[in-house]
Amino acid sequence: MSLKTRNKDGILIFDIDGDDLATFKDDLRIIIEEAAKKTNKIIINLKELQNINSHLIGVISSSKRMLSGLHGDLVVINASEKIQNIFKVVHLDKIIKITTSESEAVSYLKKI
Amino acid sequence: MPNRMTGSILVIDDDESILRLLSKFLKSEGHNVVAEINGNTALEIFKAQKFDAVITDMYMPELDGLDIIRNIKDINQSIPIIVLTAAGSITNVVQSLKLGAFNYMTKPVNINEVREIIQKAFLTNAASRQQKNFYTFLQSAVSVFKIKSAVEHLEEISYYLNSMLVFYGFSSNWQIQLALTEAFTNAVCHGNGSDPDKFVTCEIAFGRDDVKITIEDEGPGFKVPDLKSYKLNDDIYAGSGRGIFLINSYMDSIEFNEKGNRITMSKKRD
Repeated sequence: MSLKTRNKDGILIFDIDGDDLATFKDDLRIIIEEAAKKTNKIIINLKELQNINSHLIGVISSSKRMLSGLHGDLVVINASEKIQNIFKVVHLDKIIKITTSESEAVSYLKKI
Repeated sequence: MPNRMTGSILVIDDDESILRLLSKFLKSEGHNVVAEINGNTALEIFKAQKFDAVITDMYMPELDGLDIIRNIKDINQSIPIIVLTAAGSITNVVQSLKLGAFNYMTKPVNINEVREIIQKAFLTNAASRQQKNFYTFLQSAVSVFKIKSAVEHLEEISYYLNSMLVFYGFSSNWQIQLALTEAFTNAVCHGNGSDPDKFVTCEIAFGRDDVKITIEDEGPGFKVPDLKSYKLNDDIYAGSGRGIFLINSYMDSIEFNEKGNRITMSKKRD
């Protein structure tokens, strides 16, 4: 699994790639915590992600809570139908904004 | 056209001229063809109808070929998908094959190549159907793995499980794989406390009507939750319990031994 970061108009975008989620442990949580020192607006792009597990769901929800506490927000983009199904099961869709386009996520975060 | 297999093919391309060309040729070969210019609409059509193969362009607005493969494979893992791509786009070809595409063709389209690849796809389909019929004779098939307690080994077990699920004709594959991932990770990280000197035993048992997966760690166990009334923590942000909740949601049955270091979960054949 690989993680690339991009900056767009002050918003940090994490592109997560791969399917070996088991080997992906605390790195993303630490990276997001570090990133939150510079920006409180983050996009997590799951376009290349084939599977998700409860650990990554935990990272996303705790990051959302942290960024909300900093008056920012986190948006998930390009989640596959399967991953959105899992989000619904664990009610993540109730607390996280999920969009299909990066531009929609960027314009939403710019308004915050 | 003696000895030539025919079937139902979904063709997706945002270039109308290629859609027309492929559609006309495939129909002349005796296939039923549905041609669609929009990727999202094509997915809706795929959900509503039965196809034997899919041909999709790689570069399209909104959903590209890789998106199409991901979404279709989530619905039907065994359907052959053939990717149309520009010559020289090796990176995307590799990515599409990794996602499970059957084969690829480069543009401009070579009619003979289309015929040959479609025939190979249908032959593979027929062989796969014969394999699926195998389960009707099956009483049980059990595999036991004793694995070093490391999450890195999950990939190999997951690959084995997936190939066996396809072989024995199961269709709820990603749900079963998700349950395996959660239970195995739990055994390694929590049960065995990430101790590399410990082992995890994984038993995968296929029966006529179900698959049963048992994961046992060498840890001290934990207090077994009441699964009948198990629900997510009211605090959605709370970190614990999601793995068990996902297993409970996607598998038909789940039980622990008294000690709490062994989970057995099963899923009925659809």
